[in-house]
Amino acid sequence: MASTVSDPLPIRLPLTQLKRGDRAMVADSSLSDEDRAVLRAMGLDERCTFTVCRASAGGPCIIQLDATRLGLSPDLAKRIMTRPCECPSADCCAQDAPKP
Amino acid sequence: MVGNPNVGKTSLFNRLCGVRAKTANFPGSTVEARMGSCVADGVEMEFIDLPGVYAIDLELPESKLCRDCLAGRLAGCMPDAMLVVLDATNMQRGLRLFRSVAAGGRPMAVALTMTDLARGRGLSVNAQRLAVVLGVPCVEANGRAGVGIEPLLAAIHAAVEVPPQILAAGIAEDWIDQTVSSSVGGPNSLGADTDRLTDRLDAAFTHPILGGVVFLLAMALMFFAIFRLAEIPMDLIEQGFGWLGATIAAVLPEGALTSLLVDGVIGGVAGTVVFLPQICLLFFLLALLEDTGYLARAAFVMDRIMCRFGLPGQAFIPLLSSHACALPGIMSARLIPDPKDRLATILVAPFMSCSARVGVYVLLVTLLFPQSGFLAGLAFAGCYALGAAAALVTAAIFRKTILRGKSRPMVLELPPYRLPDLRGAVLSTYDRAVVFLRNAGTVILAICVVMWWINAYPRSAMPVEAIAIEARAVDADAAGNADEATALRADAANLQQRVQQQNSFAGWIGGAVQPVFAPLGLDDRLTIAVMTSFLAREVFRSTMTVLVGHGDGDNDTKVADELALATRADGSKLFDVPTSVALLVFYVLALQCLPTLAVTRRETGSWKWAALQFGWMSVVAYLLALFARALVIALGGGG
Repeated sequence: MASTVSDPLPIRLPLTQLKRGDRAMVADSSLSDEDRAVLRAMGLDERCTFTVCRASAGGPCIIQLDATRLGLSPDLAKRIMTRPCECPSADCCAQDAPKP
Repeated sequence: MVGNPNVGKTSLFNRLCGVRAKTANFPGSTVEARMGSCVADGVEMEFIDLPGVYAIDLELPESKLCRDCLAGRLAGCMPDAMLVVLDATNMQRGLRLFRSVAAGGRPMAVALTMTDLARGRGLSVNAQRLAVVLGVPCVEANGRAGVGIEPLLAAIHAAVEVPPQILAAGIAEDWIDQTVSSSVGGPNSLGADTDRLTDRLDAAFTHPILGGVVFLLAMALMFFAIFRLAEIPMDLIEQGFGWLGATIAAVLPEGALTSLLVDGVIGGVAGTVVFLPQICLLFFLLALLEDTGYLARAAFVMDRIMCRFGLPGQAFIPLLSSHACALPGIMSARLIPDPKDRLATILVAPFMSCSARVGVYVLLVTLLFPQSGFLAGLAFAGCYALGAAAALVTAAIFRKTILRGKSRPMVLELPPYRLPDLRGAVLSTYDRAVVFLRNAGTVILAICVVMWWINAYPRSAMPVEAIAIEARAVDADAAGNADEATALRADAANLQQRVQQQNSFAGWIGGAVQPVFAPLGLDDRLTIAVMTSFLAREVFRSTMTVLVGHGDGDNDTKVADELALATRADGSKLFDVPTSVALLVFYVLALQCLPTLAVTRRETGSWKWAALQFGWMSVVAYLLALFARALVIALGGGG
């Protein structure tokens, strides 16, 4: 895995505040353990970097993880805090991600 | 067979087992699996296609079913081997599942799917290397194209002999990254940003406005196809059962057995089986839509609206399907993953105005607005709106009371767009049709026989008036006036049927409950018509024709004209405005369809929910009909 650029930015934003095309990682969430477990099983955890395909402040979001697209309801998305990445590649953020 | 959702597992299962498969509902489980078999090298192999799961340790019904299977609690036996289906484009997630399954210690094999898609994205897939790393046989397979099936069967044979060897290595999370790196070219090398076509389609299909328009167009086309294309086979089924009934009636002597066979068994089963073409078409088209990847986007779009009523976006399809018939609507609620959401959807689906209600709507709306087509049209549309509103409000109430609790968060995987698998759609439709017919031949048949009995017994002797009319018919025949004789015999038969209905157990029940319906303005005859409608609401028109008039039951205008002139014992109009409005509201909201109750019981696994559905809809129908009648009277609409 090649990595050249930067750490994830120190700021943390709800997923609903990201823009289309933004890359980010999951920082934390106020979800229940059960919901967090479902998201983790679907591939959305603190180790992954995702790209935002559709986002709106009050609406649902679509994100892409590897080859998978996930649609998230607004209620779920606003409770997921993210760390936006500046780098264009997925690899850079993943290197600095906390291990579960 | 275990795997993540949308990895091509069911296509593979269909390819392996074909029509030798059936849907299995296991005791204590609200999700279903499919079981099938195939013969390879003279050895019969049985497969269980478990529902797609993201992990087996989640507190979800499908995960529990997988755990039960691994522990040997499913179908009463321990599986000889687990076939894990891995998507080559999403190996990390699949390998997490593989690792959990491997912890069970059962022999394993891996089917690597979506390899063409992975290679199209620039990945180098190496099944042999993966097999070495995983320590189990690994074969590239494509269920849709039928590629890799023989090697896969051989791999399963081999797997049964060899226990998995990866357990010690598979503990660390790095193991997954390393495995992916060594076999498919790294976890993040998919070039996702270059997926322009998916981006553009998603931008359209999930847009708040455009997405809604596309969805409505897709559904309109689908239901147009269902109504139009199903007409021909439905007519053929009706004619076929009609011919069968007439043949049996002609061959067997007149009596209780003939009546049971013709009216009870054939009539009852025909009334259910006639919906089979609609059900098959609905499931075929839904399977195609689901396969293209569009259905997940549609659910995503509709979630914005449905969530206000405590329902998920996926509930829109069962509710819309219920406009054709509640039976396929309720069955298609299986698309909904959350059990409470699914149950709420099933419970409210029969509120949607199905095609069987249309005949009653036409009759009552014609009675209400005989001179104004515009007002009649408005009232007709209002019936549909009232049913939909009742469904949504009921869903909201149920989700805040008896089905209270947090829904599964709406997180949907949006599968890649692709051409639908026709073979898979046909097999899936066949499976649903078999389930439906099995239900029609057991529960529904039994209910129909009981309903026939309470309508047919005790037997009434032919009334004196009918005997006199028959005598006049004989005289007319003797005078060479065949048309008059036929008309007189029809009158005599109508009279006999009216007396039979009034004196039957159903008639007694009608008489006994008439005081309950009196506040709605219903007399004895209307009460009997309503009571017999609980078998199937379309019976209302024919019952009223028998009880009140002598009209041609197939001609709406003629029947309406006769009913409009019908009077009560005190000489007032039978179908006055308040009564007609109350009846219309009652028929919009009441659950008068025994097959629907039988299907609800089957889908929910309990008569309790069917009873609740019936009770709730009956109470809501009664109270709103009462309110509507009172409102019309208060507004000076007559009484």
